Amino acid sequence: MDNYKKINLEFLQSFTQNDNAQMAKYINMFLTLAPVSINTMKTQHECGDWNNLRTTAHSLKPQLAYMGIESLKETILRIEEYAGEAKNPEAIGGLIQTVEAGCNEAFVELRAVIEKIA
Amino acid sequence: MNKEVVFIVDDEPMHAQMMEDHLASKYPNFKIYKYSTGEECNDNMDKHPTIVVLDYHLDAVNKSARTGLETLIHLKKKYDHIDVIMISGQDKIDVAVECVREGAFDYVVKGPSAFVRTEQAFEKLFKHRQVIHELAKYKKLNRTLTFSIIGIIALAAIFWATGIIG
Repeated sequence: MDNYKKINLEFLQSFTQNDNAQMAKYINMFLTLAPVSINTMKTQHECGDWNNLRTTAHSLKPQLAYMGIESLKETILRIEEYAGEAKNPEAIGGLIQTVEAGCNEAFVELRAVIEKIA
Repeated sequence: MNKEVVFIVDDEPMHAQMMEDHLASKYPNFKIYKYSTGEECNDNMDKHPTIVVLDYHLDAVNKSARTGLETLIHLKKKYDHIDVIMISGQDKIDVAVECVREGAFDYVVKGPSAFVRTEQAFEKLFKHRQVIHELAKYKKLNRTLTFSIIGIIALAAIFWATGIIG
C-alpha cells in the first residue's frame, strides 16, 4: 500500500487479511458515515447540545482509529472531553473544524485507495 | 459450543459490521444476529441468544433509545443465563467495574484491539462455562458418594444391632 499522509491502513489490511473487497466495504462505510457524524457534530455545536455532541464524537473515535487517522485521535478526544464538561465552546468549534479538514484529506486518500483496489 | 447464538447490539454500523465479520470468520458454526438498539435486541429474544455483545451507549443515533447499561440490567434481570460482553469506547475503569457489577462477563474497549479482545473474552467464557459444568458434575458425584457412605454405615448399624454382624 502506498504511503499516505492522513491514513494508515495497516490495521485494516491485517483485519481483512488483505481482502480487497472487505477493505473496500469498510472504507465505503467510513466514507458514508463519517461526513454524517461531522455534520451532526457541527449542528450539535451550534445548538449547544453538549451531551449529544460528546456521544457523536465518541462514536466517531473508533472509526478514525480503524482508518488509521492517528493525527485526529487527540482532537476527537478533546471534543469528547470538552463537550462532556460543557466547556470551551469556541475551542470545540475549532476542534470540529480540525476534524473536518483532516477527514476531508483522509476522504481523498481513501477514495484513491478504493480506486486502486477496486 | 456449536450451538451458540450471538447477538451484536451496537448502533455504530461500521463497528457492528466488523465485529460480525470477525466473529463469523472465527466461529463459523455460531448464529450471529446484529441489532442497533436494546429494544430491538429485546424484541428478538425468541431466537434464544446465549451471548450478547453489547455496546455501552446505544443512544448515539436514536437519543431516546435505551442505553447499553440499561439493556444489560434488563437482560440480567430477565434472562440471567445469557452471558453479556460489554463494549465501549470508554477505557475508564469505573465504567468497566459498573458493567461487571451489573452482571457483564467481560468488558472490551472499542478500537482496533476490540475484535481480538472480544474473541479472548469468548474463549475465557467457554473455559468458565466448562469449569462451572465440571464443578456441577463433581458436586453431584460428591453428593452420591456421601449418600452411599451414609447408607453403608446405616446398613452396618442395622446389621450390628440385629446381631447379623459383630
